[in-house]
Amino acid sequence: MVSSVTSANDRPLIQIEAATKSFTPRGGRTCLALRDISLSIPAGDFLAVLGKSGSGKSTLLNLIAGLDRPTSGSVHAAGTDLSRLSENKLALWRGANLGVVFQFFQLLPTLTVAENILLAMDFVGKIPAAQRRERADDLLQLVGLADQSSKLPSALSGGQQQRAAIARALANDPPIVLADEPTGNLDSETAAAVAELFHGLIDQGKTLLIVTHDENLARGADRVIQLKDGAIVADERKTGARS
Amino acid sequence: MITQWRKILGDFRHHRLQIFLLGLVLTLGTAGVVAALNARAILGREIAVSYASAKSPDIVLWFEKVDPALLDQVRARPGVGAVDARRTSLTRVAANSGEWFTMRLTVIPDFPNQQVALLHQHTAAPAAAAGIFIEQSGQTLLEKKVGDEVQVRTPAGEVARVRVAGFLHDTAVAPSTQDRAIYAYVAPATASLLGQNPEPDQLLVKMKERGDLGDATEFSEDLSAWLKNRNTPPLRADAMANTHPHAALMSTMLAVLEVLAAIAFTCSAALAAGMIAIWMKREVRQVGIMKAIGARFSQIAAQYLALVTPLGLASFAVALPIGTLIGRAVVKYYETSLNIDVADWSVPANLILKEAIFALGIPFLAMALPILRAAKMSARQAIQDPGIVAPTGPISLTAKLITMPGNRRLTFALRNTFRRPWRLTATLLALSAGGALLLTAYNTYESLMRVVDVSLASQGHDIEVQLQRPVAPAQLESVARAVPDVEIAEAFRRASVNIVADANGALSIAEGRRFLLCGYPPETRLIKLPLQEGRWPRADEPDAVVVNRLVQNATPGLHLGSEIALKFRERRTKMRVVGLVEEIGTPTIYTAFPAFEAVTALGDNSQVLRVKTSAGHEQAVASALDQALLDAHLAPSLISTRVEFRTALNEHFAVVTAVMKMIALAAALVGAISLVASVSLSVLERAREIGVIRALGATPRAVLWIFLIEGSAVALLSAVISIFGSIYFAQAINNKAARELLHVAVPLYVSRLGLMMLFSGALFIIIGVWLSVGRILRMSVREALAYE
Repeated sequence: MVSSVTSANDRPLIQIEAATKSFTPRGGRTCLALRDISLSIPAGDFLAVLGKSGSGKSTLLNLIAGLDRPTSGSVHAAGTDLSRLSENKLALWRGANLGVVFQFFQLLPTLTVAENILLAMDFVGKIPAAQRRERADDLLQLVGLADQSSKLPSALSGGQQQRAAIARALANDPPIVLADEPTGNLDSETAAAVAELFHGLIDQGKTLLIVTHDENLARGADRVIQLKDGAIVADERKTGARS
Repeated sequence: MITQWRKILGDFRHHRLQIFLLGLVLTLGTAGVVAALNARAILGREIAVSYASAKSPDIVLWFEKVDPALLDQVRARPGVGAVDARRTSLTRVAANSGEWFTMRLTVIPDFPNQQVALLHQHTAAPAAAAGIFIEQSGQTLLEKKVGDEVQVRTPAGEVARVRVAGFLHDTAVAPSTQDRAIYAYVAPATASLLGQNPEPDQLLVKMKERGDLGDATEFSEDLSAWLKNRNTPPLRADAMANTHPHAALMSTMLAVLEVLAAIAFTCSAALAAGMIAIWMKREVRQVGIMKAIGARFSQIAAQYLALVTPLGLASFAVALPIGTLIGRAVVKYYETSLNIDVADWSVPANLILKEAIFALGIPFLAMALPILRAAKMSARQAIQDPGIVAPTGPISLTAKLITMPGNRRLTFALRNTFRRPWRLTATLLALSAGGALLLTAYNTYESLMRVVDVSLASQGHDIEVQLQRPVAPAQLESVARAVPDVEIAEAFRRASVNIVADANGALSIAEGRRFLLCGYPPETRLIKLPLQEGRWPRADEPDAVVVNRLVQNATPGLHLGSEIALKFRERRTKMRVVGLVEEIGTPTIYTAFPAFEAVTALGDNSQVLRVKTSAGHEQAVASALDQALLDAHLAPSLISTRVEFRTALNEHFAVVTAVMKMIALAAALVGAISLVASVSLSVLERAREIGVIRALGATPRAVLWIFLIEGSAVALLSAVISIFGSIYFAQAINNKAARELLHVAVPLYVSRLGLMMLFSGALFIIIGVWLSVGRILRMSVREALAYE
């Protein structure tokens, strides 16, 4: 197990202690997706998670996002022990504290771009109702889609959809943004634009965790951890990574 | 090839629950179609055969007395195929419960050698045994067995006892349970024991060749004229319509069976198509993979068609015997309720072929469409991770049309309802068909009973008594008024008349058709029928009559102001129609006593008593009145209360509505099963979407509400379509009943009970959604996101 590296003065925003996750598919053998992972991530960090397929990257992300529960160990994020939350409270916590960006965008096809963002605010209730529309417009402005707000996702390109997804992830002003292969479905030019957006989030003080195969995206991270067979095999903090 | 079959068998094992549900839906729908069409075919044939086997008379001639010489003369007449002599009278018989029923007693001189109006014997008792034979449908009312003693009123008002010799089947009469009367048959010796005149007074004539009623009428007139020339003129000659008394009811029932077959079929095909569409949506990735490794469209299509084709064949193979059994059960039910004999239970071979073509072909085509659509997709399109299931409909249109202010969850849910329009159409079709059927059954029944209640409410009397012999009205009324709770008692008169052709030829006369002439006291308080047109005759008008719609319908051209001639025996009297009324019952011409006397010259005696009772005492008064009349030696032959009349009509309607309700419930069951299956598959299909919504921060309850709103929207839409559909169908059935059965307008009444059942069905849908979504919500968000 490789010990985590943290900045001396930062209280960890995300703290994973001895987390293990195993799966037993129907009729199959139990497999360990994560083995005894411990990880501390301070606020404002930009962390890239690398590893081959099956190394446990997405599983790690799912634990931090509260999308799954560890078989053993604990996960604390944004001041909350996720294991103590009921499903209802976990959902609300997630909406208020996490923004999730998926590889395949996962925009709701029957809602316009703006409505996708507004729905996220409606679920959580953190943003006052009177301010939601304005906030949605601001977020779309931020990601460069102000003129696409009334379009349906099917009318947008892949890059535009991913930017809309990023805007949705920011809907409730979460301190943490998680992205699972956010550029995996994009061409290099669009991927670079999306990467630029992510850097902008760090400048706003967000904590960003990205699972990626994209070297360009990983290069911009403050810290890169490498997973192999469910364990952290490398954890490197870069100095002056963002430029 | 072998590997492909392995894939097919593997798919079968993997999806066995869905395939089982699909098979169940197809089987139930097909069984419904087979049952309805088989029942329709058998009943359509056997109703006609059964009635024909009765050899009902074409003409009935009435005399003071029929002697054997007269019988032989008429039998020898050219054109006469067969003749039998009978006597029929009305009396009363006591059931096991103590209730007295009207009994039509027929005296048959020559039981073993009947040639006309045949009676079939199904029990072992020998014909012409001593005792009384009861028409089999009366057994339910009388609750008597062979050998039991029954009490029968004599014309003198005493009670005679006679044993039940057996049960016969008269296929020319309506069931006793519907008419609330017993049909009985005796030999002359038994008639004497019952105080009845044993000598026949009717000749029942069967023509050698007969066309329509006009032919029979003409032959009847020729026969009457010939008999008159031989100094044996008939008192009356009736040309018979040669249709079962409930022919209209039967034809309505058969029409209902056809409609049921169509609805069952629509349900089945729509449900099968919907389920296959959902299943194929989930198979799309596999299709893409197969195409990526070299499979062609035809191979993929054949693979999935090979899975559903045996399923369709197996479903038909299972459904055919089940449907046949159900069809037989329906026929058996109608055999009793219509009092017919079903001799031939076979179904034409070409009908089975038609059923196979429809029941296999159309669902197969409906299922093939989504299979072919999926097989046509490009490999790229099919393999590409669909993420959230994309809508197939004009989503931009629904996005424009459906926006709920301020609440995106409601907007999201309502738009989702329309994201797959074809699937929604199939679901709505199936649900609406079942719902419309259910509601139509209840709407029709309640519409009919409402109009019956309105008609009965407009009657002035609660009880009508018919006597075996006419008596002085004052005596009749004084006996009745002495009975407690009798408020009004009035003696009426009745006679049977014809409307004969007028000189102008303005009327289309139904030759031979007889109408009831009802004479009422001029100051009557018991006629309250609302006038549709015109007025009631004045006391000083001896030539004015009011007719009801049944008379008008039977006499096209008859209207307010028409001049008609009424024929009673040899008398013809001119009358003027001054009013028109509507009522349920028999074709009746109303006139005051002076005009009645002008037509009939029967004198002042009355044979009918009408009574109004205090509220709620009808049945008790009827019993007391019966006894009072007996004590006064005024033996009634028929006592009919308003409640009994309503019950009789209820029994008539039940012939049609009972099977509708049975099949409506079955359709609802099929709809519910397939809906739950469709919803389950649909929810699974959107598992990933549910994961995304939960990842955004939606609580499980919020997710559940979204799907409940979607389910409720579908339920509400289908309920609305069902309501409109049922209004259309019920109106059509009501119009047919109005034209052919009741001869009064039947306004549509939307049944509250039917609506409650419809909306509880909608509740069932919502529960199904709740259970299906609950299953997905038990997954972790990660599992939901990764679900395929």
